[in-house]
Amino acid sequence: MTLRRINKFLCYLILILLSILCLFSFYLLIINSTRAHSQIQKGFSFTTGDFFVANLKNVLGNSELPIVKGIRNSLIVSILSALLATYFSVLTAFSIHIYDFKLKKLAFTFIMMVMMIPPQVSALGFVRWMGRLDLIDSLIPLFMPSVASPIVFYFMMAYMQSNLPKAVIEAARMDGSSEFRTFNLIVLPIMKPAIAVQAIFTFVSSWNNYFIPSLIIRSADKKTLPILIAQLRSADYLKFDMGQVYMLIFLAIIPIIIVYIILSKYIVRGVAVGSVKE
Amino acid sequence: MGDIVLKDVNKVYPGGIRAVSDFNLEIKDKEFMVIVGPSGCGKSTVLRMIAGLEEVTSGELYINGELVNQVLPKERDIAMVFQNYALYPHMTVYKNLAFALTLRKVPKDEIDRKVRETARILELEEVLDRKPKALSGGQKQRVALGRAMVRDPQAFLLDEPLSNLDAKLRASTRTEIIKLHNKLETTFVYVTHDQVEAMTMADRIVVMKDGYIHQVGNPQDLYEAPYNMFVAGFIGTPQMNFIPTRLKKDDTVYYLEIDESKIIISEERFSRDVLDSYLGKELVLGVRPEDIVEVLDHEERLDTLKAQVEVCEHMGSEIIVYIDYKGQNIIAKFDSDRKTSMKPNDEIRITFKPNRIHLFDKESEISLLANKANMEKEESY
Repeated sequence: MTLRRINKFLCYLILILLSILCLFSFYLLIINSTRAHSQIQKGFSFTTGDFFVANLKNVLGNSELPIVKGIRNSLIVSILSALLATYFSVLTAFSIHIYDFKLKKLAFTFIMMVMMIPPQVSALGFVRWMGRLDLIDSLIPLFMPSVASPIVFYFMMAYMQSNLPKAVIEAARMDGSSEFRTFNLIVLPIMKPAIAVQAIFTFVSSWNNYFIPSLIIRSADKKTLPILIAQLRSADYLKFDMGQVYMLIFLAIIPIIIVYIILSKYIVRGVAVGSVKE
Repeated sequence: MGDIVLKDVNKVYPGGIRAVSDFNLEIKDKEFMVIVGPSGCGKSTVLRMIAGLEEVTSGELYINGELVNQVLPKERDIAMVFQNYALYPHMTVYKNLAFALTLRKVPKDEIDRKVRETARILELEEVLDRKPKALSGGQKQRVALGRAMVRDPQAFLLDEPLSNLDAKLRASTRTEIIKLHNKLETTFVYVTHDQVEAMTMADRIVVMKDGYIHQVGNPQDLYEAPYNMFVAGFIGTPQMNFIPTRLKKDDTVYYLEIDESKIIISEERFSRDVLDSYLGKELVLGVRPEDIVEVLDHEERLDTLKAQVEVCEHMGSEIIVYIDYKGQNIIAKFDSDRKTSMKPNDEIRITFKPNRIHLFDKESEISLLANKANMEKEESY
């Protein structure tokens, strides 16, 4: 009995320590966004400062930083990435899961192989290609490649295999539904939890993406938030203000939190429960 | 409206697996046709081919006189009820029922009228706003039926619709489906592995095994005159007893020799020509459990088998007795008034009602009662 209690105590202790480790950086971020540059340089404090409004004003009023446009650009890119990646990945997974066609196995293997290649490897070729298409300094190269997201596809495929009964598709066919309509009216709603999960992931990774935008974007009014944050951090010594940096990062995480709150309610287990009897 | 014809239909899956071979069947309009057979016999494949969910490898499939081999399922105007219900999990019962009509752009008020009418017939009015996960097994089954009903299709295809229900519900749903068929006056094609369902529901039954049709006929025909040993053994519970025997003739009397016993054959039942052709050959005697008679005479008779009672199952109105005859199991069904005096290890003497026995060719397993025409058909495969 006592051994079990000690065990439980240790479990909780470790979990609490891990949580603190994870949440501490957020705490630091919020505290520092309320403090002035000089205060931040003095070291860490547990209590909030009173420079929150001043920092906010400085960031928004910074003439070299198009913050509002940056947020807008990041939102456009991230939302479109999330939509394209999830929709087309479910569509691809649906076709491979439901239909029998020649070279189906090869197609699947090929997608899996693409998954193994890190984006850094293909980045150079990608940028040159975009140059030829005259898409440098455009937002299109930032969201369009999401149409082909092998990892999202793989996740959708796995979810589909255990949650989308073929009989439901056949029932829709018998009911007179065309294949595309079946996909939109039957398959997408069943896939909602998986779509929500992957939409969050794609949104966040696109929101945080610095690498590709830094290679593609040139003009100030097309810059996304990560580029602006980097720009602020690399400002010269006289203008450097940690308060502004923390404030901008603080602003940058708000949309992510909102997206998570909106989508997490769709992440419910077992939407397909009750459809077919196993 | 609603007859289905299959002509020399074959189904071969990729990899050369033959599911259905030389399938010829004419399903009449408004008929309740049951396809029955053990699992893996190809019965579901036949149904799925009629539905259009599987392609026909060769042969012709007609619905309403129209060749539909290349017609998409949605254009065939037939409805299907799936074994595992296959309801749309994210839609309410109402929307599940209305889905097919919405796709056909039926006016809203007509959809509403039809859905409510169907829900009333199937007693689903209370649950129209619920989603499938909040329904019981029986309710889900009724929603699946309802989804087919609202469309007034030319034919209903039912793929083992009762196999996921418990025994009590199964019996009542069975009656519901029969009533539904009478009410809707539409063609029903019903697939099951349960011969009781087949016998109780069908106008006609198709018995399948290994992709071939073994017999087509009404339940009574199948029971009284099974074409071969497979049908004889498959239809009827407890199943028919098969006893190896040899046909002999004594002057003018034909008899079956089972060890020392001699069972006289009624010439009314088997034609003299057929019997002559099997004289001296090995046959299989088929007897239904209810056609076994206990002989209570004390003197030894030649036309009886002496056997031992192993187990007695009291069913109330009758008693099923498992008898051991020289290592062979024989199942008999007696009236319950006999039950008081029978117990395990009793020695009994049994004989068979001469007008009810079946004889099968040992090699081809075909019944000696089968007529010539059938015989030729059998040889063709």
